[in-house]
Amino acid sequence: MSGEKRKYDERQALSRARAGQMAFWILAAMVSANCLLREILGRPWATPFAEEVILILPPLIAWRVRCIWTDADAPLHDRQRRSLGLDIAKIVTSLLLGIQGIRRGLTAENGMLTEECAWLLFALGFGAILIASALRRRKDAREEAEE
Amino acid sequence: MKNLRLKAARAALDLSQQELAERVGVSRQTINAIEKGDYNPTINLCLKICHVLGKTLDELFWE
Repeated sequence: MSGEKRKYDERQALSRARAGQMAFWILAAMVSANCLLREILGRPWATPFAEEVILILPPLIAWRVRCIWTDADAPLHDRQRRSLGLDIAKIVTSLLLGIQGIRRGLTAENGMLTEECAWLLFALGFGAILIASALRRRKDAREEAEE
Repeated sequence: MKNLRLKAARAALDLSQQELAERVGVSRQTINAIEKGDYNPTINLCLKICHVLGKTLDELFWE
């Protein structure tokens, strides 16, 4: 594997490019919504870290989920299975931090979303990736059976 | 539009989608997408598939 260039086939490359376009438009929409919300409220609606995560994570997750669903997430020579245990550990850790944050309160006294929201969003994102991977594996098994 | 000729040619050589994909150098899902008509391959990929299956472009991909 070392020295071997990661190679996607033409369909995968096209799919990744389309997923990237979709992520770009999602990011653009979220940045626009952010500006509008700031204008309406007259102040920031979240702490800086929370705002960055809430803006950047959804397009990234959407890109990743779309790549997984169209089987464009791994190149041809790197098809090793992701560690399910590692995925579950990520989700559990994020959820625990998120739940702890909910108990502390997702918003500050002035109504701004705090960093605790970011952890919940991470958990939701990892969960979405895990679900997409599981559904993809089921679809692959069904296609192989139908051959 | 489904490419049944490709599927038939693959079956005639007793190749699975995975085996054909490995010989052509693409993923199994790409072969599946071509057979189901969900993806239009480039001419280069068409030629590779024809070479592996021993068929011409007309036989596999001409409508």
